Amino acid sequence: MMATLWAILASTIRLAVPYTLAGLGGTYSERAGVVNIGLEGQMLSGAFAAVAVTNILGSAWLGLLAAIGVGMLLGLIHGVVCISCKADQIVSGLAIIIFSAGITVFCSWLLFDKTQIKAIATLKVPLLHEMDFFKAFFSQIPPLVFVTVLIVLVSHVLLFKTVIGLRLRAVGEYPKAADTLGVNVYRMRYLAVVISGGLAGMGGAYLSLEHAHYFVKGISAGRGFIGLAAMIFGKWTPLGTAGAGLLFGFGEAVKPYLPKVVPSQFIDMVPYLLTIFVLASAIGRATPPASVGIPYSKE
Amino acid sequence: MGVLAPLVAVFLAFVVSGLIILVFITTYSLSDRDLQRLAEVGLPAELTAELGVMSDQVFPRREAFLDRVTEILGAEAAGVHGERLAETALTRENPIHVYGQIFKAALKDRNGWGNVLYRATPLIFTGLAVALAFQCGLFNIGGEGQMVMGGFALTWVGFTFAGLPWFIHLPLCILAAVLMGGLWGGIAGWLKASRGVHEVVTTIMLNWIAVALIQYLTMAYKPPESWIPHTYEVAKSAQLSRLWVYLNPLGIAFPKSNLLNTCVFIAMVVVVLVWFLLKKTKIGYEIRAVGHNPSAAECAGISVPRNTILAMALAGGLAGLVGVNQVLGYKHRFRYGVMEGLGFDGIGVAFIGRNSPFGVVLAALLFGILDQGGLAIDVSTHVPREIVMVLKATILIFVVLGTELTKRLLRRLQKREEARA
Repeated sequence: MMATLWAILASTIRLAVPYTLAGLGGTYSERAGVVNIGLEGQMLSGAFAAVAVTNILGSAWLGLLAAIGVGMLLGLIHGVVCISCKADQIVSGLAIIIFSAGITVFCSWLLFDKTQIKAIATLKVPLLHEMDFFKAFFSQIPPLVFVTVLIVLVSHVLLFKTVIGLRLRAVGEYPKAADTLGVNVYRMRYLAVVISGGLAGMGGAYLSLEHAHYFVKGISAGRGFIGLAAMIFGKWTPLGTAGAGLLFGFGEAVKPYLPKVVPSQFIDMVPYLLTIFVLASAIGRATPPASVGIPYSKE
Repeated sequence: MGVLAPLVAVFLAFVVSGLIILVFITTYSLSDRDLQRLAEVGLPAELTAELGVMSDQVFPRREAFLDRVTEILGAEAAGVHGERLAETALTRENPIHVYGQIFKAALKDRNGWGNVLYRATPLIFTGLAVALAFQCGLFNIGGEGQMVMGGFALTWVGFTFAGLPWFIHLPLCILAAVLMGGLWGGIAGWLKASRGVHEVVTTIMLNWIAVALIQYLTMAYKPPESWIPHTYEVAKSAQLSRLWVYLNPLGIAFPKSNLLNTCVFIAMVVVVLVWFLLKKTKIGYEIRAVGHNPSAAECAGISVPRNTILAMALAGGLAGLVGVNQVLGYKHRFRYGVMEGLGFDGIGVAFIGRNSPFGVVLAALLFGILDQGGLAIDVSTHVPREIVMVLKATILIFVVLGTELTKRLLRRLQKREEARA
């Protein structure tokens, strides 16, 4: 009994990581006022970059860095289209999703001549992994989980307790006021969107390096959208997003243990139903940042 | 002006993708001519003779090529001549040739054209779904969900009411598709109208709820002996026949494997109906008024909430019609795999078609050509078919950029006019 509970708990924590990272990415971006639908694509590209660089260079940590870099690059492209060119943010995000889906398989064929690539290395903490206790522990809860927890806590402090976080939030609520106070709206939004892409890329790296140990076509499988749901359900805060990520992870972890009566597809629906509920409800409604989705023009 | 932006965007996208093809697609092969040239430049004769074995082999990667050379010549000879051999063997794909292959495969004969039209038909429906909602100022990302809900309802009516004559059964199926898709779209519209929830988020969420729901329903209505995730077959009275059934007796040769079916005519009729609705009826006028300026429309007595729900419902109904092509016209069963991604492609189609009914048709044809041609280049060139997805995405990005830049250019010209006056 205890073993099952521990297994479900560990599984919940493991499954929560991609949703949390994607949701965090969305949080940074939307708090600054830019809608980033392309999280799904940034995640997928990150997943591919992680495995590709890991297999070519041999180190999983380099793969992780590459994934974050690729995510940041896609975030930057999204930023150029949305912030500098002030074009439609939704369509840009959608284009990034389609682009990532195409370019990952394209590069997969070019570099490896197949679309299912096994990662040849995993993320190993240098000293700790030698010890037996840590090896067993890390196989249940991978090191990236701790990195994620750290990022969540740092984000909470950053967004709500520091000056730069205040500026980022101001830029998403009422950019004109922030601009009159001397905050560079464009730079703040670019920073947010690039961080957003990097976090999504990290989530993707986790998927391919830790979760599946493989890259396959479409490995992100809608997790970017669940990340958006986590962000909304978490009311655009890092801690809330992490909590929502754990909730959705729990739903996925508990699926194999459910009685046959409850179809697994209904569990799949839960994150999306919860999101709509929390957006529409009369009690505890979630409101997005006021200027999200509206491009800013310096008058 | 309206047509120019998408054309320029398509051109730019082809250029960018062409650069990707040119830079990244490299293969290594030594033809007899290559060996001749190498011999003239000074490669020893015995080596040239030995390498003749490789003359019809193509290597996707440099290491694989050099490994083979080392196999044939031995390590030291390979070390001396390897570089020069690799340089000579390097061939790149000509992007113009690749694009030519795409268009040739799609358009060269009736089979190609037929398949292009077959692929364009569902995109017309999902594209119209996005375009119509956009006329009301609404962003309908929910094409995927509305399409599958409508498609499943259509299939259910198709296999449940088996005894009816076709002129009752078929319209009944189509009605079910429109109503169910409309309901699904209407939910998002209602949430926006009554609760102010942004339709982008609700439609995205409703998409995945719908997909999960129909996956469950598909398994619930799956024939027990089948391993494939599809439902029971729709009754013959509801099935649409392929076009070759009509064209072959008339003397027009159309291959029997071609998937084009009579739904394409339904699509054409729907396009005209949507155009008529938007431009010539009061309902269409009110929808567009709300889209242009909600507060002005409200002052004029046009109900913004009512038109929001109506526009989303109509859009959902349009997306639901995809099932007529994919289910009634093709598989005769409901299977998500046949429909996957068409909703999202529809968003691209709508934007490239500038959210107008006839633009949607042209954009859908373009996407149909790319999809059909993409299959061909996968086989005949070394370019993977996913380049088509890269093309679609870059076209979309350039269209979005182009729309914005055109708007700003016009505004600047306008300001200059005003300053002069």
